[in-house]
Amino acid sequence: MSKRQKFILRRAGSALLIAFIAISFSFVLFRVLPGDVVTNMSRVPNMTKQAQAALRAQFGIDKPLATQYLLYLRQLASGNLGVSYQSQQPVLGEVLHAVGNTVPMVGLGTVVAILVGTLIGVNAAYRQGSARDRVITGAAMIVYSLPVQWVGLLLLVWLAGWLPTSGMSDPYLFNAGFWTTVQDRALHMLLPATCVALMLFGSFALVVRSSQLEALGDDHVLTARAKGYGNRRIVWREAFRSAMLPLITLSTLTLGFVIGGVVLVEAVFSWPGVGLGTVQAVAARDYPLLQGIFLFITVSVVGFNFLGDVLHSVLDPRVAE
Amino acid sequence: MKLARLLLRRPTIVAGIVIVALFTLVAVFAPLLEPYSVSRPSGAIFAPPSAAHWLGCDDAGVDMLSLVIAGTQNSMLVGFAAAAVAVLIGGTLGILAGYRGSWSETGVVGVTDFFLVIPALPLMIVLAALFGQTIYHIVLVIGLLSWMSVTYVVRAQVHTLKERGFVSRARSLGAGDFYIVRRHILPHVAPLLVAQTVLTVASAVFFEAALAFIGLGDPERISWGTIIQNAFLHSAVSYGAWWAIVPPGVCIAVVVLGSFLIGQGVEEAMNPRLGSAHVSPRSFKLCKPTPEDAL
Repeated sequence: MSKRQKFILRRAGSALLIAFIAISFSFVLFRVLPGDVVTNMSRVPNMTKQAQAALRAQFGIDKPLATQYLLYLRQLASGNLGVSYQSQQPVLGEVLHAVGNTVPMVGLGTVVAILVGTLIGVNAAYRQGSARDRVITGAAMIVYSLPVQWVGLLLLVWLAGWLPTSGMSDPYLFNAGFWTTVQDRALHMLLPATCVALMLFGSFALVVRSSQLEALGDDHVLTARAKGYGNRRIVWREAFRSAMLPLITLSTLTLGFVIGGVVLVEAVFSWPGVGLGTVQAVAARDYPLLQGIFLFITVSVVGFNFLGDVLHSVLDPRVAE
Repeated sequence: MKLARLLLRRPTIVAGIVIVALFTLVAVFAPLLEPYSVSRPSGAIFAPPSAAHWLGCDDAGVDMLSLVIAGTQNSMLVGFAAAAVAVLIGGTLGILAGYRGSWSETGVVGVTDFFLVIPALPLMIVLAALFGQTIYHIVLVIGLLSWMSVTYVVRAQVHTLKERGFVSRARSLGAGDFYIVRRHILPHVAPLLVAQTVLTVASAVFFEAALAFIGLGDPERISWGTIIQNAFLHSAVSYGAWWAIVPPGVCIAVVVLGSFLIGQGVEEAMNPRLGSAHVSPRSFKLCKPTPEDAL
């Protein structure tokens, strides 16, 4: 077995371990903490002890905790995340539906953020210390420190007349052709995706700038310059190639994080995805749905972290040493 | 205090300190500074900024300037309290891991890694929804999930300190662990702890605003987060009342920027390698780190 395979196996092991601990952690959070479903319900006047006991038996919370935990794991293994209090539908389906709505919007915003961040980061590093560098770094830091829900609200105030501001599609669009539907979706996606891009591009720009600066100081860049290569080739083919590693790590980390991190964006633009689902689950105290979303987000973050490790070890064999 | 003088020579640190100090002062003296009552309307609904109401009025005709000042108090309170919780936990664990090494370090690193991987905002939402919504719960929820970076930064610093001559000399003279940590480790970690506290204040203010926007803020207290949420819920957008939205967001951004300036400046000053030499491709000159970098 090569060093890289060993490294990947070890990483896979630790990812699985972390996922398992997170799943158990979520059991502790939702079951062991004070108050269960029935204590809340027992505030209903005139509820008899028998009715309470029957409810506890129905939810399975009359069994000892260890039995409940094993049951929980077995249910999870078969994809049963429980039933949402709000919709009375299985949580798994609800979560997957929400994820399907979130991914295109967030994906668009993230890709734009990565492209823009890379371009201006490389640009700033190219003229370190110049006025342009300072403007770019300053702007990236300022945008990075703005609360995203606030940015979203301002976009709404300024652009409300121009672009659709809430939801994913026009509810009054009937029997539209394929292209009209696509156009409608794309227009709805524009504002929230812009918001996601604004939320993310600052950190990409700063990371790319600093890793590009480091790469520009490398010996092979000096050699390339001594050979008389042009600036464009030195910046992109010599320096940026080695500066890409932190960018790739940050990209995979962001992809994992952003699915849960768009809660605020989706709340502002009523985008019916994971984030809005979280907000609604919190408002309705829909714990099964909240738990399902939390589990999904955690597992996806762990998965993307693992993906980042694998990519990193492929691109830079030294990490496996 | 050679270190303090060195830190104060950096203009970014000074600017950051001025910003954070200003907001802290406003937070402390908030009730004296509010020009109008925050519980009674003093102008028209969504009155635009004017001489009487510098920042206009909100959806109930309450003066925005007073609201923002009152919000400063609670936002900064949450920020500092949560940062205190986080730095206490992170500092203790970091010193423990860095100084003791062996299995306690393995344990601390494992737990820290775990909490770093778990996405913070979703977990905070879950905890806040389960725990309740008083300001104390919010402080705890944010503080209990913000200590991880403190642990790593402190641990790395303690690692290098442990190898320094004065520690082994103290040990060979018979000093106990507790004495060494108190007399030799803590004073050297203190500037880092301050920097981390300031950085954590910023992220805590950020998280408070996020939780408030989702409806998990303390309903009995005004904070920057609840002002933004209130503007969103009570149609400041369709009214076009930007003045009911802009001020709290600007406050958050300014505090966060100020904290970045302090935190980054202190960390750069303490870790000279961050300002390493670069060959700039255009001018081909070596950019040397400034003298105070080589602290």
